[in-house]
Amino acid sequence: MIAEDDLLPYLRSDDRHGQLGALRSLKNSVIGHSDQKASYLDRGVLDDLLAIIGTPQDGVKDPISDECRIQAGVVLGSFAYSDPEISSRLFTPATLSTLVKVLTQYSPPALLIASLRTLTALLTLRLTPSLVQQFPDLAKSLSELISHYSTACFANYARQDVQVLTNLCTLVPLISPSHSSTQSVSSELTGPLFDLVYGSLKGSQASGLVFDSKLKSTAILALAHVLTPTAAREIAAAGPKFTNPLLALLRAPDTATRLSAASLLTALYTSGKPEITSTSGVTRAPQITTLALTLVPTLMKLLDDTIAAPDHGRKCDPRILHTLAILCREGGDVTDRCVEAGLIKKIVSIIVQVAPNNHFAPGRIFETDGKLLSSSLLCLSALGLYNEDYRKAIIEAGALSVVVAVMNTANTPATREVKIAACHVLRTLSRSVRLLRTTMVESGVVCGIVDLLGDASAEEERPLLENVDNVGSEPEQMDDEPVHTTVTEVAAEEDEEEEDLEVRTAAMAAVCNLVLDFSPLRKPILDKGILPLVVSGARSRYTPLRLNSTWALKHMVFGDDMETKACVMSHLGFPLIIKLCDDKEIQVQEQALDFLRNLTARSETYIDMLFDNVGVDEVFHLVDCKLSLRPVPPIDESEQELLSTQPYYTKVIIAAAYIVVHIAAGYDRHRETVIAHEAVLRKIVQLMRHENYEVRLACVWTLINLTWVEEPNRAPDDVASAGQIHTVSPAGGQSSEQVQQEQSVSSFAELYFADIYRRRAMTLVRLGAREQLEYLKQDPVLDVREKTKTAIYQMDSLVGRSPLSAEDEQDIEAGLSRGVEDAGDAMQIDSELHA
Amino acid sequence: MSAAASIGPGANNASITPKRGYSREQWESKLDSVKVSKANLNALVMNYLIIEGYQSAALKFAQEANISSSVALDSIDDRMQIRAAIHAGAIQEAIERINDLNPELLDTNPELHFSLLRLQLIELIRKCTASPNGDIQPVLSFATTHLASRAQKNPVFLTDLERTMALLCFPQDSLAPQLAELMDPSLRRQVAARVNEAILEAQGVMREAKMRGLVRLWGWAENALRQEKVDFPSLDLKNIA
Repeated sequence: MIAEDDLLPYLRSDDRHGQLGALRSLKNSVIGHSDQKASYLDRGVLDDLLAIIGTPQDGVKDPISDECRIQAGVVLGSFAYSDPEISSRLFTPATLSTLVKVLTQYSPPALLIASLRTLTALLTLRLTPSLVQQFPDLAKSLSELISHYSTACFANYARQDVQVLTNLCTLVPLISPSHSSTQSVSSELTGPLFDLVYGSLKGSQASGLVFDSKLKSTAILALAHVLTPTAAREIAAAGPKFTNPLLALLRAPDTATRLSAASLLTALYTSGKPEITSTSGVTRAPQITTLALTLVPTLMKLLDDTIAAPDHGRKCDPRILHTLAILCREGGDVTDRCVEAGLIKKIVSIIVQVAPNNHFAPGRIFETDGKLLSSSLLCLSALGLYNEDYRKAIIEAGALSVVVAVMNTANTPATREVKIAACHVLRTLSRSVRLLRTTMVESGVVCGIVDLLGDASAEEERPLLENVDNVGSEPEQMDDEPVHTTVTEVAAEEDEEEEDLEVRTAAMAAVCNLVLDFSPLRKPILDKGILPLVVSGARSRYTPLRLNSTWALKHMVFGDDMETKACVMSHLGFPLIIKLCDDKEIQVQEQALDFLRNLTARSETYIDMLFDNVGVDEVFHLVDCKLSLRPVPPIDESEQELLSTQPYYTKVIIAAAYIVVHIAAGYDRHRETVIAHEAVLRKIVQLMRHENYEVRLACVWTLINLTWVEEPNRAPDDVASAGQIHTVSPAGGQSSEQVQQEQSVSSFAELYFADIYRRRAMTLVRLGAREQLEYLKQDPVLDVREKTKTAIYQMDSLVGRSPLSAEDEQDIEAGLSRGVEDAGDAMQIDSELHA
Repeated sequence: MSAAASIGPGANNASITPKRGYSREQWESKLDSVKVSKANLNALVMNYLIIEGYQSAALKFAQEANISSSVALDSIDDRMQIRAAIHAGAIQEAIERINDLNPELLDTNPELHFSLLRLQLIELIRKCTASPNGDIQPVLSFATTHLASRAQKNPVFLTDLERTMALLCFPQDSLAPQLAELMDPSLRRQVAARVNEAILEAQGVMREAKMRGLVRLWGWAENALRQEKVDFPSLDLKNIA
């Protein structure tokens, strides 16, 4: 044995035997000894170890050199498994690239094990955003390694192979901690992980073999982590032969296996095709709901066991709460059962343990606590999604002050997830109109949330490639910055800040409801200068952020507050919103069209502005396209995926139809533009047989508005414009003749309009609207039937069909209302969870 | 015979009032009616052999029963060598073997590491107090280097360390019972057992053979039956051939 003081020179020598001896001694002197580790790091041992691990392999088999690399890897691993003060010193680009290189090359299994363990320990510290982004080949290498070692394991269950596999599976959730980076690795990893899990489940059933429970549980958790909804549905379709053994594992003796099974089953069940998403939750097929309910007792028991232990809360596995959060997001029975079992109180008791008195360690939240805190908050937000009473309970348990405290901690990778979770809680709470107007006002939420949007944007405030003509029309400070960044550069920039983008996305989701017109927070938030941030979010290449930003904009122009509308339009400009209407993401289109729907509601000014800026024909062309929108099945996606986006296509149609309704509710000349675009009208008439009643309703509203007879004195500017339209009109006549002329124009206009109204109605009849209305008299939905009556009455009185008696006429007239009053704006106090 | 006849008087008494007792024959036939798959039985036996550390028996059994070997099987030998080293008082050797087998174990289990280091300290004390002029220096330096800083951070460690150091102050043959147990070989066995369990646990193997759990479950079930005043032949472990 070499004396400890003399180790370093041996490490640096070319004498492989001496090096190996020194490494062995080093290993035994550092394992379990923090002071030794600190002292060796001070003496620069890290570089020596990395140099040995990274010794180039020239193809010649050299057992001693391999053994040296292995021992160096083990020593490095020991440094990684230390107090954060020591292990964080390892966190250098050189360490990461050396270790990743081990995984991407052919390496001896023992070295793989050591390197995987080290990476796992280092990534648990969460000092780097996402490893897969720094090393794009990593997912592929991991995938190949998992396949290779799975095959080896199934053939010959050897200890070393099992260890490599277990460590590979442990690493998988850590290389892609954020939602979007998970999607990028999932295509590589889902296949091999599924094969491994399926094989291990089958193996233990068939032969009764004691298939290592640790490998099984880590593999199942890894699979649950990388599973996309599409993949989950495919697996769920495999049926009982896969799910039954998993259900059996819910009764496994060890907690890790029970948790992993519950977590994978949750991922499988919650991605089943939702039948209805309503205010009370997501409705899925009954058997899926039943299966989901069986998971609740398992998870609650796991949670209770950890809470019952001494020093409870902090030791709780965050994955228990994370899984519960995903389940509770479904709403309905599952959530009720969890609340009945006291989940809200239990979570708050954990939060109190992690952050007593809302006090966080200055500047940072430790990673393990951070994970626990974020899953606790996520679970709270899920519990309150569909139930006002639960929101109240969450507030009463004191969660809001935690949220505010979290928002005011410094930004570190470890706090990101906590902040995202805090935004989710805020969004859930903002679904309550009552809370919006009371508790939230006093909580100091505004500063926190604007800061979250602002921090990130300071780094990423750069417009993406737009049509050049946008730039001039939008007076924003960003115009001064270079616009002609190449697309790839911009993409790279955003990739680097992906996790910041996720924070902004979550914050934007919370903003959505806070800026509704009845929210007392709307003004304070706008006053804080949020608009440029939201507009820049709407330009983002990162789809979830673009979606939520468009959503927030939509809510800002909801209601009759013309000042806010003007303010929004001054920042936004039409080119961007039109571009968003043609977004490649259907949900963004829905929000952008809803924006136009809200903007044009009860506002002739904005109809004009829309026409002036975009062009009348262009607006109708846009509407025309959207009304005939059909989901185009992408070749590489399953039918299931198509079904899941179906509702959004209908919503786009509804939004587009209501834009027509609102234009038709403007001045007479606006109605004239609608009549002039027969292609659109033809679509409207066709859509009166649409399966969705909201579409049918919007179509009937269009007819009601188009057959509306203007009160003679409603809009003087209309009369003037009518004068301009009419060729005989003596426009620009002498001032002395003005009064007389106006009188003649006015009486002439009455006749003129009577004719125009009639022609409008005739056009609609010619396009088949009357027959469709007859059909809708039998509509199953009362509202549609009622509005149909109105439309029929108006249309018939114009074209002079089936004249009614004078009294009848008066009765019906009393019941008539201007179309736009009731044709609601697009507002959804809702948005999909983007976690 | 119609269904009604079978519950008529005299047809079958047992089916009218459930019999609260079973003869040995009835009991045995009931037991025989429960089918346990050969695979499950084999797994149970294998599990017992592995956890209790019967390597050669386990290997033979795996071969004969044609079941693939399990992870833990490979490490039986390593675990037995570690156990032997601790039993023999060769703690440094045991630590090095542990680090070879599972380098993570002592880094992530400071309590276990401390108990091994304390055992090592006791062995040094044993060596030093064995001869009248034993050198006390190695004991002191080991305690200072490896144990003192740990004890500072953990009150339980501190108590243990103080008690161990007290061994130096008293003659070996007249120790207070509390101190005497530190010198007793049973402490080695205790630590060895903890090390064995920790290794097994890290390998994802239950610490205890499944068969032991089944025997306990049987006992629980017998108790439950007795409380229901059911008469049945109880299991005598001696009768298991």
